[in-house]
Formats: sequence, structure tokens, C-alpha cells
Amino acid sequence: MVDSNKEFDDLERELRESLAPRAAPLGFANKVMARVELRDKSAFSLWRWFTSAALVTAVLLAMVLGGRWQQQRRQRIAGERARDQVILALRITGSTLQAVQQKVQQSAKESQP
Amino acid sequence: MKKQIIAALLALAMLPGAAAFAQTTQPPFPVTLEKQLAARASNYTEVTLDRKMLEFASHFMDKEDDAEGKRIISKLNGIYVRTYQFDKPDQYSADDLAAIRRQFETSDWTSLVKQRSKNAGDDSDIYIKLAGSETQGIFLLNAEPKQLNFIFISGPIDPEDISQLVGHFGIPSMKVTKDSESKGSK
Repeated sequence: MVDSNKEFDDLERELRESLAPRAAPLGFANKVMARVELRDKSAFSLWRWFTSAALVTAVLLAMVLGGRWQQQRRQRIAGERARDQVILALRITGSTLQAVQQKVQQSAKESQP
Repeated sequence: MKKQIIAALLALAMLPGAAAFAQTTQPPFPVTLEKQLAARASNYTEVTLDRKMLEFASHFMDKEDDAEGKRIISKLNGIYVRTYQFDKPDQYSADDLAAIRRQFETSDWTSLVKQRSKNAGDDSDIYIKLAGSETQGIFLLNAEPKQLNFIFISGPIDPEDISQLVGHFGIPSMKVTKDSESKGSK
């Protein structure tokens, strides 16, 4: 009986000691706050890196697509101009041939008795 | 002696290249006097379309009306058009025309039409270049008192195709239109 009381007392004392309020070590709060800030900072810089990369990619893509569009536009204009030149050349050729044919026909008519 | 042999060998080695160079540097449009005539003209049109330009243009000839033209130019090496309009007659001489004709009076070319007039003011010529039974080029010269037209078509072409141009591209089938094509101006 005496032994069991003693054990109980020991347990109680140990519990009291364990659960007794203790003062935080010096600088504990500052250390915790510093770690929290560091974690926030790294998360922020990662986010910033992603945003910058996305922005740079978007700008590069816009430049490439814009350049290609501009090149295609220029090529189309040049092509349409070349087509117009072909049509003009064929038109002049046709009308010149027609003029020559008429002259020949006229000459043939005049030379007939 | 050794140097001379090396020089001779080098010259021999360069012969095919020189021949190819001479072929490629041959003026595509053999008509001279272009600058002089342009200087005297009040309006002139010069259209120069070599094979590359014709190929490039054909990619953009996708309209229904372009089909005939696209077919005609598909095999050509070039189309060269020169039209000169003058304010007054006598801005070119018979000698000018003779100098131009001389360039087609070679064994390669055959005169198909030869129309002569007093003072060369109404002359016409059609020359064709034959290779076997195939026409490899056509040269048209049409002189009016106040207008000169030269057309040089290089490459395989059926003369019938040119005749068929009449009725296409705004060329009326019967009526001859003069002085209506020139777009360039001085």
C-alpha cells in the first residue's frame, strides 16, 4: 500500500514537472518569425519567376507570330502585285497581237484588186 | 612552261563555267534602246517578269479569271513588255526599229509577220523562235505614229495561246484598243 502511494506521488510529481509552464528560450519568437518570413519570401519569388517567365514567353510568342504575320502580309502584297503585272503583260500582249493582226488584215484587204 | 600548262588546264577547267555564266548573263530582254525611248516617251510601261517572278505570281493567280493566264505562264521563262507613248510623231526612227529587229535576225528566229510602212510609223513584226516543232519564244513589235510596243515572251509557248488572250483580261474580241494599256508614266 505504501509502495503504491509512493508510485502515485512520483507520477504526480513527474506530471507536474512536465506540465509546468516554462519560459521560451531567448530569441525563440524572432527565430520563428524569421523562418515564416523566409518561407513567404521563397514562395513569392517562385511566383514572381513564373509570372516573369510567362510574360517573356508571351512577348516572344507575340513577336514571332507578329513577325510571321507581317512577313506573310508582305508576301501576299508582293504576290498580288506580281499577279497584276502578269495580267497587265498578258493584256498588252493580247492587244498588241490584235493590233498587228488587224494591220495585216487591213493590208491584205488593200492589196486585193 | 610548267606555268603555261597549269594556266591552260585552269582555262579548260573553267570553260563549262564560263559558258554557263555567259548563258545566265545574257540579257533576258534583248531589245536595246529602252533608255533612249523611255527618255523620249511621255508615258511608258515596262513589265519584266522572269521565271522566278512568274512562278511567284502564279501562286496568287487563284481567281477563276486567272486560270487561262496561269496555264499560259506555267512553262514560260519570262515575259518582257515595253510600251512607249509619245506626245508627237517621229520620236523614233526607222533606224531605231531596224536596230531592234537586227537582234532577232539570227538563225534561231523566224520572221512570221513583217509589215512595213512609210517612215516606219506603222510597222509590225512577229518573230518566233523555233526549236524543232516547238515555239520557244515570240517577239512582237508594233509601231504606231505615237506609240511603240515590244513584247518578248521567252520559253515554250503555243502561239494559239497568245491568240486566245484576246477575249480575256479585258481585251475586247473585235475592237483594237490603242493607248489604253500604258500605266507607267515619267
